[in-house]
Amino acid sequence: MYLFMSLATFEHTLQDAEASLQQATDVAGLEAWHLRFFSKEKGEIAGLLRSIPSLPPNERSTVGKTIHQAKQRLEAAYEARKAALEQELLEAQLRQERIDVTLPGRRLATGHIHPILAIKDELIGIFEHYGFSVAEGPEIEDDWHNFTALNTPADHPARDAQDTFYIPGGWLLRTHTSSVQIRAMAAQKPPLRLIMPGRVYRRDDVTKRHYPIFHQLEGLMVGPDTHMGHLKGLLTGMLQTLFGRELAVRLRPSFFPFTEPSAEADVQCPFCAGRGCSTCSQSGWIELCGAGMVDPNVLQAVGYDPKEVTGLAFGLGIDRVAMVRYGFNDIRHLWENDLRFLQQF
Amino acid sequence: MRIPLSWLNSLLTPTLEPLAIEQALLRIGLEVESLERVAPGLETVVVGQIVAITPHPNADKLRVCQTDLGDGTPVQIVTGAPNVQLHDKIPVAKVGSVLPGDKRIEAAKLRGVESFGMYCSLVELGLPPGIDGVHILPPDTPIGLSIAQALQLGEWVLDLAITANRPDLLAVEGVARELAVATPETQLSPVTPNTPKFSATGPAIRLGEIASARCPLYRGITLRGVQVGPSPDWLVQRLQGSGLRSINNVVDATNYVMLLTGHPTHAFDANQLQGSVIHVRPAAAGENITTLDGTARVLTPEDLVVADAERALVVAGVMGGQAAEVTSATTDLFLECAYFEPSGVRRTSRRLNLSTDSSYRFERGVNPVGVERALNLLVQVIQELAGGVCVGAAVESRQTGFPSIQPFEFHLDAIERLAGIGVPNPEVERILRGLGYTLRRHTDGVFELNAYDVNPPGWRWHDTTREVDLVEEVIRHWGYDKIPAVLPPSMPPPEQPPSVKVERRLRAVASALGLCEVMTRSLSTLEAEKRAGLSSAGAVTLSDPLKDMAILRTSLLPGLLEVLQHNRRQGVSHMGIFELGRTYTTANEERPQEKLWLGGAVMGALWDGLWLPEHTPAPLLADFAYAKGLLESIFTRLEVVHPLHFRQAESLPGLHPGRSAELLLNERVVGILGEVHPSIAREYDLPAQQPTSVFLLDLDAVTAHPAPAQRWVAFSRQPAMLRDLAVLVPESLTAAEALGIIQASGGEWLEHVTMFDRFAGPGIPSGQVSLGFSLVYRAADRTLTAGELEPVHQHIIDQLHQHCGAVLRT
Repeated sequence: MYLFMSLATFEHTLQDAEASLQQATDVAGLEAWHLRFFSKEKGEIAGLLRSIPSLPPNERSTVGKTIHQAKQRLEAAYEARKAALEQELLEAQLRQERIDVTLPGRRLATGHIHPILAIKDELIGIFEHYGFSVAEGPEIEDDWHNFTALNTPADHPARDAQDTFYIPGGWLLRTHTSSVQIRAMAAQKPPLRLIMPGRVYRRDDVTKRHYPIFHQLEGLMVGPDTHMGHLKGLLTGMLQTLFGRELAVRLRPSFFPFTEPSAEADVQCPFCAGRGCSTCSQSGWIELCGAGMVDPNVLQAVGYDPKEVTGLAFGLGIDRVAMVRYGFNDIRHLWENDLRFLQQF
Repeated sequence: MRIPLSWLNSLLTPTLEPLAIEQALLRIGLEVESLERVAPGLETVVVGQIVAITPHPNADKLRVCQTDLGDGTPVQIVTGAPNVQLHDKIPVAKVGSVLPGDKRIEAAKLRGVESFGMYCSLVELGLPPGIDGVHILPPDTPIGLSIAQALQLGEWVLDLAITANRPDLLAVEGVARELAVATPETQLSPVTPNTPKFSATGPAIRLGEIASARCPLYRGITLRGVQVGPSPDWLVQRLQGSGLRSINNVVDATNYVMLLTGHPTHAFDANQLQGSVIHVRPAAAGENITTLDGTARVLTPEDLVVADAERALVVAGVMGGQAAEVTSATTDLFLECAYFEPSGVRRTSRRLNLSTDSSYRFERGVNPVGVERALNLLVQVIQELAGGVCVGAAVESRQTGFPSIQPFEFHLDAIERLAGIGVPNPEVERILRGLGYTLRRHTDGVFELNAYDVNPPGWRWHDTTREVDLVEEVIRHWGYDKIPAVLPPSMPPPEQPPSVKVERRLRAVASALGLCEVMTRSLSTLEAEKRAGLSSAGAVTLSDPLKDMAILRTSLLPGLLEVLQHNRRQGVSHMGIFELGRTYTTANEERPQEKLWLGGAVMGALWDGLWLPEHTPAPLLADFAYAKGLLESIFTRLEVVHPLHFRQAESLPGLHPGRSAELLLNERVVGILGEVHPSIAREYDLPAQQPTSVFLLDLDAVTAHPAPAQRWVAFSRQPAMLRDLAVLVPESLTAAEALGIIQASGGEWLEHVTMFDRFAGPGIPSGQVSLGFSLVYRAADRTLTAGELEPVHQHIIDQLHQHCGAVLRT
């Protein structure tokens, strides 16, 4: 092609290359430019290089050097141009892809744990730290475990307080988790520390405050030096963990056939700090659980020696704790399973 | 137990203020249900607030008001009062009120508009008139408060909830005794009746046959020449304040003595007796009596009666009969005070479904030592009110050795042992003596010891028989608030039973998968279970069902479906729920069985109803595979040694016959999984076009196979080679079979295989289906080359072909 090439010829070619590079305004044009000048076979620069041997020997090295420098300069210019065009292209695409960020996110469902069972698990965790392990027992009980062994013989008026569901064949639905105490004590020797969570049943009408099925967490600690101060200490500690701050516990004398002395434990109302509000009926206190020292008759019924060991016991209403903790006042929410309720926990 | 405070204070010197009484009672463990002013006749008049006023459509001078009475639902009342305005607080007489002057308030229509109550002026409340018209209360008066409380009318009445062990507190003097000990500055002024004078001679009523096992103590006095008439005001007021009606002076006297002392007593019209002998005997089978409430009752030999020669006069300890009732014509009385054996009274009271003030006290145990005093007091009160003279002598039947009140020892270190605090001797003595115990301190001849011989008073002879009972008596009055709060010595956290660990793990995993935990009732009905297609075989039934609660559930399924139904009615279209709960079945003569289950249910389509970009595949349906995936994800985290297998099932109750499976663990069926049968879904208003799926897993079976303690498993850091494989196989080949062949023939380099596609339709020969698998190959120690992998991959293809005729799709 360039049989008699002059210096002017390849200067012209290089100027043409630089000028046409600037005219390439898109990637296709740029690639066409690159093919025209840099193709190994047919490119114009390759043509120039091939013509070098036809030059006079004294010019060859000068011309060759010049062409190589120009080639490097053009390659760099090409790369820069290419990067700029690609960047423009990307920016255009990104402009195109703009969205409305206020469109709603596609949420995955997050699961929820039922408040009663969350609190049950939490209580298990709290008492675990105090060395209590979980014991379980049947909900369908016999009279002996639910009443007689708990110092409540037949015809005892205390049975009135616990309207019982009976089942043909001599069975009944346990009216308290205290029945598990009897099973646990019969199965192991003191000292022991146990909590016994579970469902219990009373034949009551459904109201805001009562449901025939509810949940208790029975606590039992038997040992040679167990006393009511421990009861107060454990309940105080439990509430502190559960409510995240110190709440006073008040023991009031009470009566249960299976404890002596017996107590009702109240907690300082967490909503008004004891000043009185609608949640605590202006009293500043909320009933928390029945408790006391295990009656010697109960210890004897399971073969323990009341001279050797004493025991403390309490029966916490988990439903009640949940209601106090979250501040709702209709127990039926717990059983309705409305997602608008459950998803709050 | 309702007690007017004035009566209580009449036994205390000095008297106590209402607040002091309430606080003292609370401290010593007497539960105060209420302490408020009660004005007879005004019990149903409360503070209301006018929350809306509209003109009466048919009368210019009347207005229609909505009134908030504090119980949630405003009540409509038509008023003619010109002076009331919106938001005023006024006294409202509710329907059923009988205002002074015998003015009855009933639901009425006033000129065609219904009205349920009346706004009251002071005059209408029986008070001196103030301004004209309805009385306007101060704006800060609480809504719903009784008007007696709001206007400080009537007298303070205490209402106590008395526990079953304290029959002595079913008596005004019993409560006063406790208060006198609880407030050391106060003294008890007991009522001391005179010994009756038997000034008349002549025939007195005698005692005949007395069933002494059930009536160990019976005492009676004949009183002649009484004048029955109305009671004086002071007595009427005390009875009314206590919640009893005044009848006549004699009957009122018996009630007065009962309320004061806790001893039920009875007065017979002596002249109505057949003969002059009183018997206490078991009723004859089928014996009839018409009790004072006018009900004819049929008795059994289980019941005890007080009878004359001919007939039963009283159901012993429960209720008198009409036969020898005291009337205005009565002149001669036979007065009874007795100790009836508690459990017998209780059985009769329960059988007759008749609980009276009398039976309530007898079944808790009256004071056997106080019978004579109570009868003397009754005689004295009747003589003061109605005159009369005692005839002959008192008659008494007493079982030998009754009552046998045993002294016992009380060592003071028992207080510290049980309560964690010590109480000084003088306090112990003050408290116990004040409560009626007699104490004799032990000595060793020189020094007094910290121990006593104790005799309980007659009114506590059932309840305080042991040292431990006295510990409670003492610390109750010393103060439960003085017991220190101490934590027991620390112990390492214990090992928990497997069920606790599994439940914790399940809650965490299931909720992490987006499922919401529900809690459904364990009591159900056969109908509710039948709705879910269950047969309820072996259901445990209740003897005394409540509405909607007649059996124990045999499955979690109906409860789960009901939860879906409830929420769907609230507009929820997609949800996933789980429950951990027990089921119950009978087991012949054995204890019924209880089993813990994991139940799950999913409904609707994931992301249904949300905006989605174009070309997004259809929302994910809650179909079989969706539920299966959830169950598998949960199961892999349960640390069970065996894998869970799925076996096609065709007749699981409530489930789609072609889309259900039994769950197998160690070759035992441990649950079910499937889409809800369309007809069951319709029953619960579940979506018709989208599947609903459920699973039930027996957790007892799961916890029976715990995996050994978890250890990590090493993995290769070499690069993986990925190969996809699409084959045509006969339609009948199950995915499990195909995957089984691939896994069995893949050799050590096949790390993982997943099935990503199943397709039948255009381009696929009929009777065949295209399955797509993704295979991941990896060596533990080096990078695999394509060349060495090729024969392994080809081997899988060959095996598929050989075992099930699979043909590679190209």
